[in-house]
Amino acid sequence: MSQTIRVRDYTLFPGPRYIRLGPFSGEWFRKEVLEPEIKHHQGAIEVDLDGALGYGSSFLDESFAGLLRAGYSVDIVNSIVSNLVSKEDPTLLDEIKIYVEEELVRQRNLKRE
Amino acid sequence: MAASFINKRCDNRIKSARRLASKLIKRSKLGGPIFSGSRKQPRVGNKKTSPRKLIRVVCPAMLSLHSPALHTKTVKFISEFEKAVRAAQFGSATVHVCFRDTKKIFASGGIYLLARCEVIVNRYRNVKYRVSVPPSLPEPGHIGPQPIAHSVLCQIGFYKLLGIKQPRGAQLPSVDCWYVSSSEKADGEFIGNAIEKLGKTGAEARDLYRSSIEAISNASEHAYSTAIQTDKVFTIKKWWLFSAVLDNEAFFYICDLGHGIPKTLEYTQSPTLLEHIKSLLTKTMSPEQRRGFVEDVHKIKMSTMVKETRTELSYRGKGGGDLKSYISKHSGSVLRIYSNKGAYTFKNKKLPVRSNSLVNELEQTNNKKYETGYNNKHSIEGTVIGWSMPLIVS
Repeated sequence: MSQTIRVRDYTLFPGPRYIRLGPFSGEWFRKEVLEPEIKHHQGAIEVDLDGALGYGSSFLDESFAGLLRAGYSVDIVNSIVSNLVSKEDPTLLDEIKIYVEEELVRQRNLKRE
Repeated sequence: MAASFINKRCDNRIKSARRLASKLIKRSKLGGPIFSGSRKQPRVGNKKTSPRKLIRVVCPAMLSLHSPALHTKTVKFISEFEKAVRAAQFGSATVHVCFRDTKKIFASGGIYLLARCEVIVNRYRNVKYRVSVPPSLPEPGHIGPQPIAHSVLCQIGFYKLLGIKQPRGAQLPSVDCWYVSSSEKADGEFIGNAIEKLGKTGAEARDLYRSSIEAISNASEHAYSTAIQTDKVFTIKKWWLFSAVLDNEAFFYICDLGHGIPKTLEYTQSPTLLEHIKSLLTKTMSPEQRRGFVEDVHKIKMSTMVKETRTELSYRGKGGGDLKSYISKHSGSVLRIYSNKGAYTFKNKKLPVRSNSLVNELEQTNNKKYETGYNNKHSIEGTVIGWSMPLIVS
């Protein structure tokens, strides 16, 4: 049974990339909301993006691709990305997938070097 | 010889003083006044009290960054204002800002005026100000003269900033949906409030939020970065936001007074990516044009291509930078970026491209998307990014 996280329950105004830049940042959402829920439910979570006013690319990248940078496995991140809900703006789902894939490519390149 | 000349001069002075004194004595004997001057009470002390000096700065007819001529006049006016304030601080004078000739203040001019003046006023704190209010002028489609420029000054808080009581007078009815704010933090709530006031909802609000939250995030993260070498001293590290409705168009402008995009770009993006973008842009250029590809406008153009080039490099089709994403989706909308000397415009409508454009027309004609750019004479020492959208799409 997966746990549903609704972004709108935390904020209607998702913010910048890092906590130091402003409230409700991608880093804050990842550290304070996503990571505790991932640990608690062994990665079985569904993130509902609907209801917020909008998302900047920095927020999305830091929240989801940032999980890979924080050391979470590819399987967990892929399962979260495949369980995303965004009925209001379905293009967000593809966009997040791109950020995750970009991060995977970057990490692979780093390993090669 | 010299001594006798001096003695002669002294004698003459004494004689003339005696003559005056004897006249006064005679007058007083006849019942007239003892003092010959008109002063009723003799001056006390040695200090002379002179009226406070007034340094006058006249605002141009239009305050805007939209064309090279208007840009030059606006930047010059604000530089003159700064000079006047500096002089007034050290010469204990009053600065008189005269808006008597000002017909219109556009959103780009208004936000830039507010940001620059806030920094100047905070730097020189002991200066007194006087303002001549802009006149109300007839506007097509309105009965009677309209106080457009005055309304902009009231709404952006210009009078309050100078410590002046807001002059009385009517304001435009549309000011209720205008919004002005500033912060050091990239707080999306400010953007949300502005969008709500403009009455934007649904996909339009989402797209505008996406573009503008990235703009204020960039301002907070990079605009005043200490990693970039500069001679500038940033006393205020803020961004300013101004949204308004004027002439059936909604405006959404964000301004910062940091390093400017042309300087931050090299620090925020990898040299490989920038080289790749440069090669894409200069592919069709002559060697001479390529050598000249160092202007601020080119760097602004390159910054708008970072995201789409990155996704292209990772073999994915989703393009369009965040700043441009709103324009790509909404017909009739325009993105304007002014950074240091550069000016870049991205339009989603069928309009002729400027003949002096330095940036090529890259988008296809059938998409009705055009981009233009040029360099101005003077730098705005910062960045102004604005989106404008028609309320009635023809």
